[in-house]
Amino acid sequence: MTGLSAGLSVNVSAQIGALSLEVALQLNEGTLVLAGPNGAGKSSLLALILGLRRPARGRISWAAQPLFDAAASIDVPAEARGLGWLPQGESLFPHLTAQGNVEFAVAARHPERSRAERTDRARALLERLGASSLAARKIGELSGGERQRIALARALASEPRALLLDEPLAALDATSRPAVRDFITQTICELLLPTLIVTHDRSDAAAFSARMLVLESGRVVQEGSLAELEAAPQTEFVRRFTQGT
Amino acid sequence: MSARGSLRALLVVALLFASPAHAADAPARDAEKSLPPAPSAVRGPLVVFAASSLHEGMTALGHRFTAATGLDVRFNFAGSQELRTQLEQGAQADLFVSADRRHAEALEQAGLVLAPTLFARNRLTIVVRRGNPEGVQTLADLAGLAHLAIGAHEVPVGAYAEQLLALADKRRPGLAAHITAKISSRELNVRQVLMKVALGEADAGIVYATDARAMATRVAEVPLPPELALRTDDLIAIASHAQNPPGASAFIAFVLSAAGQAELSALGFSGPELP
Amino acid sequence: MSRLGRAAAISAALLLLALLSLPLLALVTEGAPAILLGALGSPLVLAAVRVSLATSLCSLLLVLLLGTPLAWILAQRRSAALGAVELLVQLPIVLPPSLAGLALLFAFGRRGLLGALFAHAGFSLAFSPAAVILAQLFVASAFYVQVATNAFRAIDERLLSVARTLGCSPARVFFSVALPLSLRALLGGAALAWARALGEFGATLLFAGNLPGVTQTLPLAIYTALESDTRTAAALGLLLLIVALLLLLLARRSAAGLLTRWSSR
Repeated sequence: MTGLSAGLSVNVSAQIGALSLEVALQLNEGTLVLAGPNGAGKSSLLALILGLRRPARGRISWAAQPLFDAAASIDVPAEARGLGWLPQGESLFPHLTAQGNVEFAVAARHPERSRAERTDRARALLERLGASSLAARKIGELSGGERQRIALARALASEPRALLLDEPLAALDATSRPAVRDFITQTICELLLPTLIVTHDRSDAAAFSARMLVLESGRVVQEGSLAELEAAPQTEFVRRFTQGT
Repeated sequence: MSARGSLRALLVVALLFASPAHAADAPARDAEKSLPPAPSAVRGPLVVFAASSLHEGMTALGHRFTAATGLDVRFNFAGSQELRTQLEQGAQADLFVSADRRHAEALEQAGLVLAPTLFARNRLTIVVRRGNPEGVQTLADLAGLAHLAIGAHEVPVGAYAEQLLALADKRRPGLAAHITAKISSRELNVRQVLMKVALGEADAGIVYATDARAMATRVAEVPLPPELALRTDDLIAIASHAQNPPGASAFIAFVLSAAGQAELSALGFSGPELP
Repeated sequence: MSRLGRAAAISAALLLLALLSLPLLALVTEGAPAILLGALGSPLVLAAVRVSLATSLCSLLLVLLLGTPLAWILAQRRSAALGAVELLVQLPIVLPPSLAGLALLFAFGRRGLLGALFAHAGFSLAFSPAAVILAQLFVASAFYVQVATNAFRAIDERLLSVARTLGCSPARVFFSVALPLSLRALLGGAALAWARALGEFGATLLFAGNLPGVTQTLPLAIYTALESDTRTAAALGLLLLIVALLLLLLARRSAAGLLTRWSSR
């Protein structure tokens, strides 16, 4: 957990309602899957990392740059942390079109760019993600899978240095799920972005990642590859998760 | 007359001659001994539409009347013009008490009230803030104040105030314009003029003497000389569609009686016989 | 049964419509002849329209500028103190307007709590259009603040958070997410507040007085006219309704325009 490592270093504690959260994790190149039962504090941990909630103690840093340091009173605001986020469920702006959502992120990151430049950048991104045909659609007209594509495109448009995806496949039906899962893994691989994915599902975990972290009641209870966890589950949850039940 | 109407009339006559049991229960006071025969057992309250400038006087008279006759009196206080509009639109009343001759006569012409009777007079006066901090002595001093409140042209107290200014202007040309320039608000009734002065928002106002007396603790009166203190007429009349004509007549008789006049004079009204 | 239910619903709706529209219709039939006869051409009427428009638009502007941040704060956080603030903002609705006027006098009048302070600073609200605006602000802001607070509360928290992570400062989140998402509701609240300000009578009469061309708004002119002539009052009332209708239509059109501009951005 030294501040000198390349990626995102997190070592925080916080009291969130009745839950006392105390987590240390390291996110470098590649994907880390975060699993855990409901109420374990997964989404709250993401909020702490993103700067949407304030930890009581600890430190969050990107390489040598502190994003949060309770001791040094450093708290970089959410908009300056450079972390992309896909919240659980709906998160597209309903007053904008699909392309408008992507342009929004470009404009937020680069307010100095002209409107034409923003449009070009958004179009290029949609094209690269194979979503050009959706550009002019209103959000209400998109399917669940299409929405997740646009949401990912929007997160990428803000040029993040890491991605935090909170159950990106949870709202999807069984038919669209594999396609979106492939789309996400492919995109992440291409971009080489450090990515943290919260999931409930063993097959998603298997597809996304070589490395896993299991959170229960605010603490990390086990860490390792899916195979390692499967071989020696240390809690009942890990055992059931790895068996896919 | 309809069957119901004649039945009511019969009942009224019968009750008038019945023994006044309620009145006998009331503690007899000297003043009340002079009351005319009371229609004590006439059923139903007496509904009186009265001008708001007569609020204190009418309320006091109403209490005395109820104590003497056992007849319930219900007041509807508003500006004379509002009351007139209500009556024109078919409101049910037994009596109309106006602070302005014009409205009473207009209703008489329309056949809505019968023979308005002059029962009291009021006079115009200046009120200033408590303690008279600006030292107002005369009407002309009003031109030196910052804020003056008077009634709107459309309401009686405002029309009288304009008459007063016109009168003063004849004696001292230009005075009316000087004073008018200091008018900050044209209030919709005399109580609002008074309140503006009582709260200190306006420095002075032109109201009726009875109003100045009613709020003597919060405003000071600067009386006008007799030739400028315009006198106003307060009239009372029975409504043509009164539900309780004997009760209404009795109330008028009480207002004109020595006891009624004493009550009014204590509040600053002068009697109808004065010029 | 369901047919019966529908008949009942329709009759209830028609009853309310009749209750609302008949007095307005009567106002039209009473007021229209006087308007046609030119009773409204008088300079006093024009002055009242001018005072009403100027003061109510000023107070609306103030309601928007001051009420929107308050609503935003109330919507974002919850605490006992803010709950009390929210209640406080609603209280003026309950006060009878003339009592509101009295309260304003006690606070800002020449003898009021702040009167001496104002006098020291060399200005006085007494009998000025500023007093009219303050009276309107006092009685009308609650209508806007309540609607705006609810509209802001209805926004999905995630949309605001996600905008932050995309690089938006809190101010930018407000202007480019919260505002467009609640625009319709905000305009509805603004229309309510403005209508209340335009129709304000009791508080204005007491706090600001009634002087043609300075503090006499249309409702005051109407009430003053009522003292002598119901026809003219009805004509003025009709004029008030027409002015209100025009402004509300204009607001609706500009709202629709803003919304399409936003969504095509």
